[in-house]
Amino acid sequence: MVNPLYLFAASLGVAFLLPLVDKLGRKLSLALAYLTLAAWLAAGLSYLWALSFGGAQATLFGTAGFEAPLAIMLRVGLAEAAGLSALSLVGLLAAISMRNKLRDSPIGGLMTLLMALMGMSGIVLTRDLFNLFVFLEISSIASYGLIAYDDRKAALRAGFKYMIAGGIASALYLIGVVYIYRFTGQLNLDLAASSPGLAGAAGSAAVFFLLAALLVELKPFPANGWAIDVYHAADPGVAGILSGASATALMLALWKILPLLGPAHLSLVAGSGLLSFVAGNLAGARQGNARRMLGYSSVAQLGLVMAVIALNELYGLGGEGFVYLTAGGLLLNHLLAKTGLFLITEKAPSGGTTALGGLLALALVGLPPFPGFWAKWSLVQALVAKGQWAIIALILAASLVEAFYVLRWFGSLAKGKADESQLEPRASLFAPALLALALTGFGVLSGWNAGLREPLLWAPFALAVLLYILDRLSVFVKAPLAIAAVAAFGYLATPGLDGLRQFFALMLLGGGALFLLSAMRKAGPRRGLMPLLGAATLSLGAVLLADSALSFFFAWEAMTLFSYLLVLRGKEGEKPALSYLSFGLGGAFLLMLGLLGGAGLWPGAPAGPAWALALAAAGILVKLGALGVHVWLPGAYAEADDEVSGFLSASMSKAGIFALIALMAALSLVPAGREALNQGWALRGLGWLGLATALFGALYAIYQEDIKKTLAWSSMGQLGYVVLALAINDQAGWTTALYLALNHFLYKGMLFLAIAGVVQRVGTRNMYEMGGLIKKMPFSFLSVLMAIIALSGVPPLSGFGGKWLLYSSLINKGWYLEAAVAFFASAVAFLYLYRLIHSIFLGQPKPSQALVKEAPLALTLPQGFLMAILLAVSAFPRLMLDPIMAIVGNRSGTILAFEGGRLSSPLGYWNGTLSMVVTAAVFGLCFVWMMVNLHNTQSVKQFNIVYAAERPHTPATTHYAFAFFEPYRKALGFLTRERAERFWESAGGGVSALGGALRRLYTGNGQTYALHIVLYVAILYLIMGVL
Amino acid sequence: MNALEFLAGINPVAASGAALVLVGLWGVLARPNLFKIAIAFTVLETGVNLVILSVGYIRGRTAPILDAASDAATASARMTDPVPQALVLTAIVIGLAVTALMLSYALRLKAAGGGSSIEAYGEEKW
Repeated sequence: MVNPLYLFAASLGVAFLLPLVDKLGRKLSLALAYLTLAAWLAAGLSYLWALSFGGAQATLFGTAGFEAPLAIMLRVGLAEAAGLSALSLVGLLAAISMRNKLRDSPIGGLMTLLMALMGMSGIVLTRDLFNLFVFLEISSIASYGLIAYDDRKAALRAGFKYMIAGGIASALYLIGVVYIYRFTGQLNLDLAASSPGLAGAAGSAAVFFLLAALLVELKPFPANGWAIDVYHAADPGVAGILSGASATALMLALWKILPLLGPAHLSLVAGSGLLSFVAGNLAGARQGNARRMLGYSSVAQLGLVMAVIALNELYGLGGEGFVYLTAGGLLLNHLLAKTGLFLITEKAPSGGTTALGGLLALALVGLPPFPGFWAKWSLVQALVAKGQWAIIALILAASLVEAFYVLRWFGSLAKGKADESQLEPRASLFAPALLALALTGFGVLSGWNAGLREPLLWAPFALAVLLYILDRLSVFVKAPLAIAAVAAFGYLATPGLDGLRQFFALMLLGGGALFLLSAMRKAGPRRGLMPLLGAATLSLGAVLLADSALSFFFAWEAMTLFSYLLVLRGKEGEKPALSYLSFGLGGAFLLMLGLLGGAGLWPGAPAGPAWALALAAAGILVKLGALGVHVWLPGAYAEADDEVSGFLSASMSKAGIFALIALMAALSLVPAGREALNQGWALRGLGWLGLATALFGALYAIYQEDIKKTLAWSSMGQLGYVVLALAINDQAGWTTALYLALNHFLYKGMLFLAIAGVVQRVGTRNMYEMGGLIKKMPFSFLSVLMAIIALSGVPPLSGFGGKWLLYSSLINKGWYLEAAVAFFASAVAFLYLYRLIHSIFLGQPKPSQALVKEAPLALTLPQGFLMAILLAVSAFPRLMLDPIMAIVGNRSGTILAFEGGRLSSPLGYWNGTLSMVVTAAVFGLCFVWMMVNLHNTQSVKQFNIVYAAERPHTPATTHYAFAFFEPYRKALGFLTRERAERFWESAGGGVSALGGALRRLYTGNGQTYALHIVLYVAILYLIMGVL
Repeated sequence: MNALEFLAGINPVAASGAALVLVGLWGVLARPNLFKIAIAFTVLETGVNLVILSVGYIRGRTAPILDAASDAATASARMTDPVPQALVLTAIVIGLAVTALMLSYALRLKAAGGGSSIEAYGEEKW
């Protein structure tokens, strides 16, 4: 391994030669500086290679021909090599993206840049406590200079505050180091740590001063106002270097002095880190300025990393390997993503900034496949194993807040809303792109390392990338490609699955393919839609494939991720997508805890303890939109693209149902679990939750003017029935649940596809602005008609069977009240269905819609397909029920059984074929009678409305279809005041107000910040006295 | 231990260093003038440097200079500790750089039309 001293010499030499070289031209100076930085990077990578693959050992380099204690030692181990590579990479990339400004400003900028990065590298390498101080000061002083390099006034203001903080920290450090020397007689870290002199109160106090200085440099809450101001004001490249490279170096310094720290010190680090993570994220929640927001996120992330390092020492979470994996993973994730994000904040919004900003933001919040995801997983896993629930709750809650504000920023970026600072036209995306690439690479590597080697689990991401590359092509090229990918996935994945999973694969993958097909309803590239919809479909398939806790959660988060992006893609999708993701992630965190606690959702998995199952079930119910946590649902379903809404409702919601079924199946595998299920109140509660969801979903649906909102609420309600049926938990209940799920897939797919066609043709989603479309869009009418017959449960279509099964199972179980409420909810559902078909297709056509045509083939084709299936399974229920009953098997006694075409239960029987024949005959007779007796109707001109000699302002709202069920609303409206919405809004408001109050600490006055630091250190010292 | 013994036990260099640190800290926290803050930091640093020196000083010993007159074998028992003195030299150099940089910042802030009070530079906040 090359001696790092040469690199220090090179950096110093180049920096001091630069003023001379600059006479020959700035290009030469820039090239020289970049070469030096690249040499550092190359050295770092070569160390890394030699240590990981070359069989080299961690090496100590002496200086001036001496060894410790006479000389300063430099150490190159795995952590040092990794840190060096990471910070050089970030430094080099930030420097490259700053090149225009470095070219135009005085040469001092380039010199300080070299010195700052050399100082940071020195912090990483040195093993000498005083030398560490020197490198700290070199990097600080150079950073002060660098902050001011482009002479922006704001940076000068912030830089001065930084200097005050840095000055206090260096005084603390000096006092600490000299007393450590006093007690141990050593300045070498390793020798000092092994000396007995540090035992006792005085030694502990000396170490405290050293630690306090490093902590202050690591920007803990609340002593970090200066840092946030610097991130806010400095050039984005400089902010990136400070947030990425400098933080890495300081974190390694902290890691380095661990041998000096006692338990009390470690508790301080852990507590301070956790507090910073929580408070930083809370304060960030209110932030509008992108860079300041990233600043808050930076201090929060650093807090988390240092907490992890200290917690590992305190609780023995998993040793050095664990720290590399989690703290290292989190730090790597932070430094790559944050630097990239800082660099992006100066670029005006464009397609490229959106894509890269999205990647980096998603990486930052810890979604798969990025390193943060894996790190967070192993962190929470270790904490669960140690039973540290309070810490887990804090970390996850703060992560959720962070995801909220980071993705809120990304949402507005994706919608092209520019910050006032985002106007730099010359900024290049080279560096952020490379950083995003590195993040992806490390993420895939970490996943591979974590044992996720099934290629099909990675297929969603591969497909997303492939289709994104082809995104400029027409949708007519991409859609068949995506469908082929889904088919290939199904061909490869499904044969190995059990019956239940194959059954769901039909709805998840088949549904995905249908909606991919329907995306061809509009010509053009429809950018973004295909990669996301294709990947979302495959991620649903991956959920079925999962065979371990980690792979299940990976697939689950991938599904959340892609569906979030799909919702965001909708025209008004910004807000609904954010609330969708907040709830999706919240649910996913609960699920994660459940999975880590032992809840098994894959074949042959152990059932796990009850609390784990309850947590997992709670997480799944959030995803299903159960009443109380449903507030994300209407917005997400309504504001997504029309085919995406159908996909979410018909296919993706089934993934939640599948997870719930898998959970209950796992539970009923063990006898104890079966007993608990059968006599516990848990199932009764679950049943009532499903029932309430069904009832309120229907109640909300009837008052909507927006057709897609109606369907969204309806989806929520219908899933409630499935949950209710599952809660029955016997053969009949399970059969009912699966039957209802498949039925819902069929009719909701048809409804959403038909409505997509209607909305596309008439250009509005308000039902009162439609009417009489039966003649213009007869096929869509037929599709909606069949779908609502199937939904409402009247003969002859399959919905009747579903209702029959539901009531039979409920009554058979003895749940009479539930049956009654379910019946009432069905009646309510009938109201909105009636309104739907009446308002859109019946009545008189609106004059403006005289030229409306039938929906495009891409929509009618899948509808026809679904219709055919619906008719087939309605006429021959055994087509559907035989496989379902085979899946359910003989679960605690047979309740339902077929005799020929007759399905009988203890309460009676149902013959689907017969009811089809009878209904068809009756309908045929009525139809013939109607055709014979049809009168010529007299047409009256619409909207010739005059009240008291005055025309109403919006005549369309006098249409009967507007406020259709107002009388019912007057009677029952109190039921549908949006309580859950208000609850979550005030919860969100509370968090936001807390954050708002917290950030008032940061007054902008440098002396206040200095006071924060002094108080922080003093309080830490007092706490240490207590510990 | 009576008060007199306690006072005698205090290292005068360390005590004056600590006093200077506190004075400097007070200046940093309480004087809004940018230039005075910079000067307060030099006071603070001087205090820290005195503290460092006090650690290396051992009463009754000679200056740590090895030459022909001194016996290398017994030198460490007769001389004060030279390491803190070396550290102080480095710290003084670094302190100088920081002070210079602070003053130049203050000058540039003033030159850009700001006041000399730090309270005028609170635009980045919350």
